[in-house]
Amino acid sequence: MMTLAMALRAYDGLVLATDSRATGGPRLSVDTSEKFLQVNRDIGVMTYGLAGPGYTGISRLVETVKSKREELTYFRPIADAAGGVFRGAYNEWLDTEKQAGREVPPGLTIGFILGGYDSAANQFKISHWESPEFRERQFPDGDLLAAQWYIARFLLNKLFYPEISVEQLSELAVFLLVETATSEPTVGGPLQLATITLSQGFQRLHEQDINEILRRNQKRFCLFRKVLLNIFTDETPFVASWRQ
Amino acid sequence: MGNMIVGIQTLNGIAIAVESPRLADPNVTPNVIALNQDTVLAYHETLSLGEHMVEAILRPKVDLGGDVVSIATQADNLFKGFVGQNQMTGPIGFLFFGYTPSGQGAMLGWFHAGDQTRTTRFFPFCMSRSCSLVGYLVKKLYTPDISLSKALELVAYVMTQSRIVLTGTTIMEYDQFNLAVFHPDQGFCWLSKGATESIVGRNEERDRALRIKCAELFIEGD
Repeated sequence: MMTLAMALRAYDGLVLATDSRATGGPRLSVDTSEKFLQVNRDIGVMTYGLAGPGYTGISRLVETVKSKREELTYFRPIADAAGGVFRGAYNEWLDTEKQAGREVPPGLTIGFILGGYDSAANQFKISHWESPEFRERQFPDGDLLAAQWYIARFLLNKLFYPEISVEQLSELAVFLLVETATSEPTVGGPLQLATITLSQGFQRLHEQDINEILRRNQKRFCLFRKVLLNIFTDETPFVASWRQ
Repeated sequence: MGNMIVGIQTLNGIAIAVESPRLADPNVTPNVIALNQDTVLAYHETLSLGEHMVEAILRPKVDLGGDVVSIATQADNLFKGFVGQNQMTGPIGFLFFGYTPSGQGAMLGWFHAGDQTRTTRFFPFCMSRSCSLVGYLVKKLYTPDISLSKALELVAYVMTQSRIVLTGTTIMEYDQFNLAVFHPDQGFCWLSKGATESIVGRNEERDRALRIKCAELFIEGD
């Protein structure tokens, strides 16, 4: 499974973040994959795993919401509709592959994350769907890390605090993506980031904004590496019997 | 998920952490066995299949008088034949730790899942299952001149943090966590439970220090 996809919760909103690397297929990897879209003012959708049906799924959800504005206004009805849309995009892709005589490896996964402000419930919400069941999982309080999430979870355990603001959490999200990319070849390429707040709604960060965060994070990368090295090069000798 | 094994090679020995039940005899764990004085084998994932392959194939058919590389090479071919003939899907993995007669340390792996078989020669670290966090932490914390005692603390830290991330629990079950060293001259030995607990305790202090030192990394106006 490729990509690192995250929906993180700050005290004042959400941060959606992912890389842009698509791996597998005839070319080893490309860094142009579009992995998230704005659904409406307050909601964004993200995908990971299979790039083709992933993009079909998120773009089709956006079209569906646009065509049914009156029914699909709030988070819950959009989430209820989303599962079927995602499953449909995946099944279509499976049929196409079968018709073309291509075998689908069993480990290939696709996932979707919907994040946004639910003005009906006055809460920020995160929901998640993954193949093959596409059963909705809701994350009412916590955050969601998907696909190549192990390094990010370790770092989040050390660096996250519940009072963090969306602005700081955006910088932490970039930190997690870059640190993961240093060790995980399926994560990389230009970063894609959006924030969702009550006042501003869904705001996608532009390339120059992300570059500015990367510049600010340079000191943090160095400091974190230094702290890690220091904790294992302390001078206190280890004295213990290795044998019983 | 199978049990986890992490090894780090240093200039003066190999440090190994094994997630496995500690038996009444502290020198034995069910999935780590000494093949000779200079070679130790650990198996992971489907332990019953690992045990069967050791007893039915490795012990009777492999010349266990050879060095670690020779044993792993022979086992590679025999194991491939076995899973192919019996259409075994596994998953099953083996890690060979040891020293060649010239005193060169070596860690070799054999893994089979589904219809895929992978053989690997590891340096400077090996792990039983693919979790990118292990590679990340070793890359951050390993230095080529690391001592064996520091490497032991490092494998323990990597194992603990990986368990926390993978299982979501912060509770270390000492009975399922073992550390061992493989010294080129003194051979293989397990650490005592007390020594293991001491290392885990030191690592908890390290982790606390890490959190304190990183607490201000992401605050407003930094």
